[in-house]
Amino acid sequence: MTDEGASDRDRDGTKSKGGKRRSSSPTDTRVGVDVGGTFTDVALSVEDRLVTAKVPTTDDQSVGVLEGIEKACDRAGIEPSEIDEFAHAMTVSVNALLERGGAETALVTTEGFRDVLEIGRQDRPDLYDLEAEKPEPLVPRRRRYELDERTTPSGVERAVDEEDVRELAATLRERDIESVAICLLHAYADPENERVVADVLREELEVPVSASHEVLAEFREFERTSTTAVDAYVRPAIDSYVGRLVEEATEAGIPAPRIMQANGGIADPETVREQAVTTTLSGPAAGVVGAAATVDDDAVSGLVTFDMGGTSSDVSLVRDGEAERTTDSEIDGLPIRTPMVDVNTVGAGGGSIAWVDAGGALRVGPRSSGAQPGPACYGRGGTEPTVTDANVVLGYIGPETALGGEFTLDVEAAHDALERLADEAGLENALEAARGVYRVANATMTRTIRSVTVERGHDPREFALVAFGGAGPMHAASLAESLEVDRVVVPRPGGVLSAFGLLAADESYDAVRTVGVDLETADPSRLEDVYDGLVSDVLADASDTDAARIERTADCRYAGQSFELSVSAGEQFDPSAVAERFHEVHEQAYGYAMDEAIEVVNLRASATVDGPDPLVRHDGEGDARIGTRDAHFPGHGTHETAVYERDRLEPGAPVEGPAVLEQAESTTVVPPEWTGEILEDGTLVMTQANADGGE
Amino acid sequence: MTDSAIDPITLEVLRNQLESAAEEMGQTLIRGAYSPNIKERRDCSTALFDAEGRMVAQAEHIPVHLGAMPEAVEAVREHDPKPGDVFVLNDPFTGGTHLPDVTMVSPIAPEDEIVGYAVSRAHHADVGGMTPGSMPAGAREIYQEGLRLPPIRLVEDGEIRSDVQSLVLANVRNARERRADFRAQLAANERAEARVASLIEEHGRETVLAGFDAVIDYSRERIVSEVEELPDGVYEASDVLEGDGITDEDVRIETTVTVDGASIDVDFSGTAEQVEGNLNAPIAVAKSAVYFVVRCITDPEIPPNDGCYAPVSVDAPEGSLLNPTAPAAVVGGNVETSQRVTDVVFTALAKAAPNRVPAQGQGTMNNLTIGARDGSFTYYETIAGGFGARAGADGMDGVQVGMTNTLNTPIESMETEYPMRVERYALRPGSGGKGKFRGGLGLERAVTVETESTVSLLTERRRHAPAGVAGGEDGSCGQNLLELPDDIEKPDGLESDSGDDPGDESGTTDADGTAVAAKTTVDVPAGTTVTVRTPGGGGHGDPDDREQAAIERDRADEKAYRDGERDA
Repeated sequence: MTDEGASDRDRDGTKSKGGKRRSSSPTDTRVGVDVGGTFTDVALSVEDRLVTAKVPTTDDQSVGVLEGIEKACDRAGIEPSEIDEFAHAMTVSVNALLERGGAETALVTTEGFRDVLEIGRQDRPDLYDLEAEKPEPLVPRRRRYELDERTTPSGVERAVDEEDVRELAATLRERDIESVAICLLHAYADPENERVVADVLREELEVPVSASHEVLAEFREFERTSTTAVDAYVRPAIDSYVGRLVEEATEAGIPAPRIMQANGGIADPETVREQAVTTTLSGPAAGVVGAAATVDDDAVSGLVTFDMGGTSSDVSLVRDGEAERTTDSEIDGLPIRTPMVDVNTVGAGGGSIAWVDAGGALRVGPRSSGAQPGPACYGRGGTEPTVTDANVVLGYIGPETALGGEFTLDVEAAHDALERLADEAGLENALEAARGVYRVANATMTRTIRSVTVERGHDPREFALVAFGGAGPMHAASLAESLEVDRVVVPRPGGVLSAFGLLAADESYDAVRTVGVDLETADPSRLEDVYDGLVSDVLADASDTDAARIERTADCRYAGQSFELSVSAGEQFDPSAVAERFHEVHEQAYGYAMDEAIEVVNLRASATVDGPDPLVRHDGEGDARIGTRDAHFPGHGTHETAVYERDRLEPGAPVEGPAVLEQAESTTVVPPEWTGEILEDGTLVMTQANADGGE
Repeated sequence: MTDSAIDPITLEVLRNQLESAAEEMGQTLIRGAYSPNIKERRDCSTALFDAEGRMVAQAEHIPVHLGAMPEAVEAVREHDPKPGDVFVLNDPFTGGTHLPDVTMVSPIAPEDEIVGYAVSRAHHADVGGMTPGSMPAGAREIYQEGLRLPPIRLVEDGEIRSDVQSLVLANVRNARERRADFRAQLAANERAEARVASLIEEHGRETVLAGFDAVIDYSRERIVSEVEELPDGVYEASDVLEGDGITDEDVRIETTVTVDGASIDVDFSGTAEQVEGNLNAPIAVAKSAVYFVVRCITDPEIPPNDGCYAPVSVDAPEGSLLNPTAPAAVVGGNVETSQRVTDVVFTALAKAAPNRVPAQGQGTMNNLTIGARDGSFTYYETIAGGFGARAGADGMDGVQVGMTNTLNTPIESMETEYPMRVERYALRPGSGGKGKFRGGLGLERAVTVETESTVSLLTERRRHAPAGVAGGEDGSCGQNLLELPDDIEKPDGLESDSGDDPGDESGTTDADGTAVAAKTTVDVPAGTTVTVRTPGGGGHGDPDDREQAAIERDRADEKAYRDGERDA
């Protein structure tokens, strides 16, 4: 690899975009493929139709991806070669992290600090668990190397000796190192030494080299080192996977995939091969983007997305149409500070097992029945009561409900399991136990939703709840009641929402630089210079610089605090406007503002190129009612309840609760006092009849 | 089943809601605070209490606050709190533990009748006294340690009493930051009041109050069933502190733990009388340490509240190290004595539950305070070390042990905010005690000051090593070193002791400077480097039984053997 005066972002100087991509239009044929743990989901948009498919995930994920595309094309009656655009989310990097199956990475640090990666923040993982273990560092001590050099917050104090770096390169070559992470102290402030090290190592070695000032030019050495190590660790795997997929797609006549990043934006394959850290958690990010894409509603100030699966549920926030992001993520105990869609996971899903603990409380999870044997009602030998079994006893899932079409429901087994739970908990009968399981599962999820709304200063009553995943729409209205939310949205492609989200995703790139200046005395022109550099970095990655929207933000805090809040910096950096916004945001987040000096810690820029809104039309056939059964609604009692086949409901026709709407991959519960309505694109919106619109 | 008139479902729903209210308080406090101890190191706790002063839910971020909150609420209740009041206190002899820990207690009275209390406790960076940071190593009386606040109303009728606030702020360094920390603590308490009000709106007052009882009963049921599993018996143990900061003489801590059915009685008779220095620990500190051990050897998931500690009683003779009388100096009791109490109670209970208790960990917090002589800054940090080896695993390397779990200060923020340079932050190879499973490694942190400063070290395990168990070897002792710039004469306090050899190698020198005592306060010139090497954990089992793969892994990672140059 060569590096001929490449910019920070353009690391190996070999990146070529092959010219600017034309902006896509809603009528293009586009495919989104999301690889999950068990299934690979496909969403294909052909004119105004949406075709979906599911195939098993394969060991080499690219095999399943192409199979899935073929299956969807078959259903749609088109050839794969007719596809204009291909967007993709995968689990290659997160698997490498979770299984510690990434590269043999070396870490290069400042002399005296090679253990920073292992010491971390010096806290133990659990206060009281004497058996706890710290997360295994991605780079063991034997592969962490120190260089004699020093930078301080004000610049390089002792320059690095190129000869030392060449010697180190020889050692790394000898030891068959597969990738290198470099993180020198204060490289966010002055990257000169780190740049020299990176240049020499790239010149001397054939393996990927990640430098901290390129991955994350932000202060706090442990978090920056960890993020850089993650990048280096997953890079070879991402590189070979993406390379292979591009090749196979080209052979099949499909365009090269664009890859979903954890920040919620898609990027060209060349870009993610060089910024591998951005590909962690790409699937969940796509799901949130998909949820945001199905709701275009001015009546609410944001969305709480709620994805309830078999073993866990994910909660995220969407504000002003954008998925809320965080720079404070961890995967398996490893901090990653690049921006990611903020996905909060709670260990309760449809398969979670209910039990009575030693103190007599009814608990749900974290143990799950898994795919085998599954809930008791699957009739595959499971006997323990799960959330899904409770939903059967409550009447939400009926004997004729097709659970993915794979098996018939064993209502008796579900009833027996809940009966046993009732005995243990001292409750009257199976129905009482089922009510309890439903309420307790909801309480756990409400707690998580509160932690991402109220604890951050957002009033959930101003939000709509978007529910998806197999079990989400069954719990959503009840959750909404306890959060005083009066609007619930259930997207039509709820079973493959991440794949659908890929069709709707924007392109998005981020860059950050720590500046650490007093807001009042800061020189705005110096900050503008920093922004100029950041903006040119993010634009370098954008496929269409003319169409790119640039957003500039500043992470601020009251001088003396340790946590920053991000505020918009506008098009021209105006210190007094930034100060005003910061006071407001602080007031909103913590309930008060102060007449104190404000410090600007980091500057950030992002470039976004809007993707097209998928154009999906839903017709319905009107004749949707398929039966009636008794169902129980906590807080509303037992009612004779109409059952509909959701996909046959006509747009515009209201569905009065109580009702149950069945669909291939999920079931929606419309409780009494709620009304559902199908929109033109097939989205279901539920509103509470007596809602007073919040106090 | 619980005895309360509340069903198992409502119990679980309310428990979730009460815990989330306490957590919300903690987040509000940490995010808004100015003191590094609170914001970076989470040295704070928040809790909800019922009207009778029983703890209902707690979000504790470090264990040293576990047992200390009830005494604070008790002290406030004696002052006839009214709706709209917020009390502040830090006096170790009326509800506090040591002066830097400032507690605020607010009655919760959504319908103008007190249904409970919101409590927040946080370690402020300074509360006055003879040295910046309010952790003076040489204090002999509490008056030297800072401003003492018995329970007083900071807020009355919803209004801050500016005269009281002025009095407090006039007596502390960096009043601007203290005011901001107060504001963050008040905001946390307000958050709790709002949450409880909305719970009452949702469930009704009767159900919420019954819920308080139910969650307490719930924890009691669970802890009782675990304690009943422990074999009945009388278990004894003792250990020592390495001097009280005034003399180097060992100070004895002795305990007799009686497990009888569903009760654990912990008696500290035989413990030394209160000392002249600052290692005295109010009884609340000993309770916290005992509660910590009990939580570790039972199910750590049992929600911490009044019921959780119901089976446990703690006694220490009045006037002893663990139940001192005013005006004893106490600031070191919270940080160092508490660690030794933990070791002693663990050692005693190891006889009842041998496989659940690891070898001893570093057993100290390695308190390092550096203050500018001109008063411009104060830096305080505790430094991690080795965790004791477990029955089935090595001890963790470089982690906080026992009563603390505070984070480090990032080097890049330290060098930006203070005139200081970090020279080294590294694992200490070879410091973990050998064994079938080795003890965790201690750390080394070396800091150079760039201005004239006062360096204060309050450390332990500099001459009595963390013990190994079951044939495992002891971990290495810690070391404190000072290296002056070349052309400077030694200041007072750096001369090696001419009389008794304290046995902690003070006065000896190596490449990184001259060893100084475990408890040292000394003025140093610019350019001085302070190196703190923290103890390693004890080993578990016969070193000859160690698996070959583990030996080779340690060798490849240069963790097993001491670096000849540094640790010879």
